[in-house]
Amino acid sequence: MEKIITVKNLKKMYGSFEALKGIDIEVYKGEIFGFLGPNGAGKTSMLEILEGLRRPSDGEIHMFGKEVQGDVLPELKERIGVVLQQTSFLDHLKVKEILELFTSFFKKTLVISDALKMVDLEEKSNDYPENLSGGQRQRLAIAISLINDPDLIFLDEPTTGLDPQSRESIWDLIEKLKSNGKTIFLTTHYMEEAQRLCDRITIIDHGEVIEMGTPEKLIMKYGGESKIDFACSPTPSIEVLKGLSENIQRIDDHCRITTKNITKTLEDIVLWSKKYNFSLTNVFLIEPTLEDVFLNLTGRELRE
Amino acid sequence: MKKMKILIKETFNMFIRDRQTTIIMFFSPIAFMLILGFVISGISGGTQNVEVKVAIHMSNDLQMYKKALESEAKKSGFAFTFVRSDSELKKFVSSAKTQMGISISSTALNFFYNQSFGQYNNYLLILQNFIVQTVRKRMSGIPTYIQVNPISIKKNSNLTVISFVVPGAIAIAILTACILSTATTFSKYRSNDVLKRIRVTPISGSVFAFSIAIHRFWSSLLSSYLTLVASELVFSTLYNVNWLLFTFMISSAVILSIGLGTIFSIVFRDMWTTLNFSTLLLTVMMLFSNVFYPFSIMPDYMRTIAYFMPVTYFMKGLRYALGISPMYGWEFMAINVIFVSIGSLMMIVGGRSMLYLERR
Repeated sequence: MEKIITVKNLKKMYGSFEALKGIDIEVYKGEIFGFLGPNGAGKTSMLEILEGLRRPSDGEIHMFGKEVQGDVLPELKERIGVVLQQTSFLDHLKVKEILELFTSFFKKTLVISDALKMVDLEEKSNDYPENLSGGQRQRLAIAISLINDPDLIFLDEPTTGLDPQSRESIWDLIEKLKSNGKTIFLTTHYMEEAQRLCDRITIIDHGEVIEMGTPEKLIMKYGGESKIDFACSPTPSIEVLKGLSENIQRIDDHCRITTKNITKTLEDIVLWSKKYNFSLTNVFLIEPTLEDVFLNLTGRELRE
Repeated sequence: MKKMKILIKETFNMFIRDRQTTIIMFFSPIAFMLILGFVISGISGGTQNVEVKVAIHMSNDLQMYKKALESEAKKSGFAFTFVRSDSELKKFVSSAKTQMGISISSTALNFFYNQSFGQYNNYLLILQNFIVQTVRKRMSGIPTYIQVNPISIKKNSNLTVISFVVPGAIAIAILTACILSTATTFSKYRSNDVLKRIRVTPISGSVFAFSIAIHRFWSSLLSSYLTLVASELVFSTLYNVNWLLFTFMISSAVILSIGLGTIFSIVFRDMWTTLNFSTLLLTVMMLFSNVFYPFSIMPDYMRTIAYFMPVTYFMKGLRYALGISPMYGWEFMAINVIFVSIGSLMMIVGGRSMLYLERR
């Protein structure tokens, strides 16, 4: 697969504080690459170095096969789209005018109506950004990043501060971009977002890569066991429950079994309920997530 | 070229819809001129011709021109007292019998002021210009040392104190508007991360800065024409305007001001510091320059400071273009060339640095 970004031993110092401690990553064409970590882990520093907004203290960066020394060259800037963590627009310009202004910065650009259509903002083209909702403003920021029809898009925490509905629409949009062949470098501290969108992820903490791989593999490796929650009537005694599994516990009015073999455990629960004549209600399967991966790798919750 | 047109069009939209900036750029010179004009007319009867007593000593070899000078003065509404020697002339001035003394010989033309008549200072400068013009016109061939450019004062026109102050109002308002609006616009773009966003695109900083600056340029030019017209309508100033020179002078001062504003926004990265510094500098420039009083009557220490103030030279050039102050042609050209060169350099360096400094 074609490598779009290669980073070797990248370091960033802020005075005596080492924000990035020798990062090595590779991003491939057409994938959504997730860069995950808690606040202050070094995600934005990493992203801004790649965008040319920060100087690395050490290390090598190659983008589209070219070594990035010093500033990112204009010819590379022509091929990248950027959504910064904080979205602010030029004052006194309407949505379509902002896009038009940005077309003047690039050699090759999309037709403005196409960019607006892509982010579903056609009806808002004559509105000022201050009259848009948070989600619409973020979609506008993405439209700006797409105006030069980039091959690589950097998204810095694109859904932070958005309501669930807006977040969902941004996720749909990012998936659409991927299906159009774009390579996406995404930073987030939402594990749900990374799990849904990313083909591969790198988890960083305190400026160091602690693990990388596909979400599925990481979950399988570090996520731990799945959980099956169920309630039954009448409420069984602890002794009867222990007859079902040793890894069972009662939490309020329901029971939880932790297991590595979901199918087998579900079958056991059904047989057990028939044997004791319990009627099962509210059976839930809780699979491990990237949150669990992070917890198991660092011993901390992601948002601690 | 098409891209540049789009850039200029959209930055025009940004400029014209920004009410605060457009009011400052378009109307502040007129407002400033009107306020200053009415204040001056209230204090000194500025719209009335002032009776100034002037003593003149002409050397013996020029006595033949005495009548010519008297007649020229009469036509223009001036009255002179002729004295016999330079020492008598100085006595007249120092004892306040006259506000000004003029010594004319074939080798020198000296003006003596009595600084206690501060309220007439502007008027005296106008008078000084009249004398220089008259001597040049009526005594041609004799005082060849007076290398002034031909600026003729309109006969019987209302050359008053306000005529002297209006260019000051235009200059200060334009400098204020251009420096403040440029500096605060770029500082604001920095603080709300707009510059950071532009930094990740291929556009060069100087091109972006130029697209923002160009609208300050034409609006200042337009505003200065309007102010001049307004001053003629309200105060009957009736300048003998050389429009080409006037346009040159305003343009180069605007370029310098925009350059200064760009540099300030880089040096003082926070918007409020930029604003405070710019305001302080403009206040100093106003006080220590020839905006409100002529250079020639300033105390030595003020004059030394004024030498370093761009507004001093802007004022000189502007009054020359309006036909109320003498100046060498080469001096006018030099001022414009220096203003444009330094202003352009600051804009280019400032524009580039502006985006460059967004990389931390």
